[in-house]
Amino acid sequence: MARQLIRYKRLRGQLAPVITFGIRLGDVWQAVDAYVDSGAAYTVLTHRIAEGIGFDYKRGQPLQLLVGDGRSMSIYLHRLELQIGTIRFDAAVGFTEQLGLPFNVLGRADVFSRFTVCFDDATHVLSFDSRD
Amino acid sequence: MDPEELKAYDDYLADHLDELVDQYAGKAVAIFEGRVLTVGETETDVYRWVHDAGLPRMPFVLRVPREHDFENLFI
Repeated sequence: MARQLIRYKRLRGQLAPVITFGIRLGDVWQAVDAYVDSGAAYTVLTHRIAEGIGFDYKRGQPLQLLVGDGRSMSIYLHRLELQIGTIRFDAAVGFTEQLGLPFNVLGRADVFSRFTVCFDDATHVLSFDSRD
Repeated sequence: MDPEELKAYDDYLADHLDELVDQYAGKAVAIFEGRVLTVGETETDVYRWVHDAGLPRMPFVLRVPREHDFENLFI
């Protein structure tokens, strides 16, 4: 079982479980940063990443997600290859033009079933234990 | 992608986030081989530069958080 250990990121003394992972859009692998959110159903990225690489994100399945303040957010859902550490896997990933957060979000779908994810707030380390 | 390259980007973010915010808060940047290559108002500006630059691999493109973005997060 492979274990990926990833440090929390520190901004002005505040720590947050932000990781850098890989995503394949067409033939291009892109490193992306995201806040790991165990309360989020899906991984959702800003549409600007897809747009910048020339990936037609609007060909995905349109979906409305309910967000924390009760509003809905439109996403286009795709199945894409992700990479966390050395592990590659397919996951549902949404792109949105309405990301109200300053970060992309790495959510549960296909990620938390592929890995056992531990948020160690004492040591400020995220661990992703592959289930293989 | 090369796991070592991915780790290097993650380490860069862990080690240099405060410096990035000092200089580029709210902007989009491209990071490649341990340094900031270009800065733009949005990721779109940065990707345009990246495509023109003809780099051998895609750099790490991110929006730099603002000063207080890690405070009071409800997620």
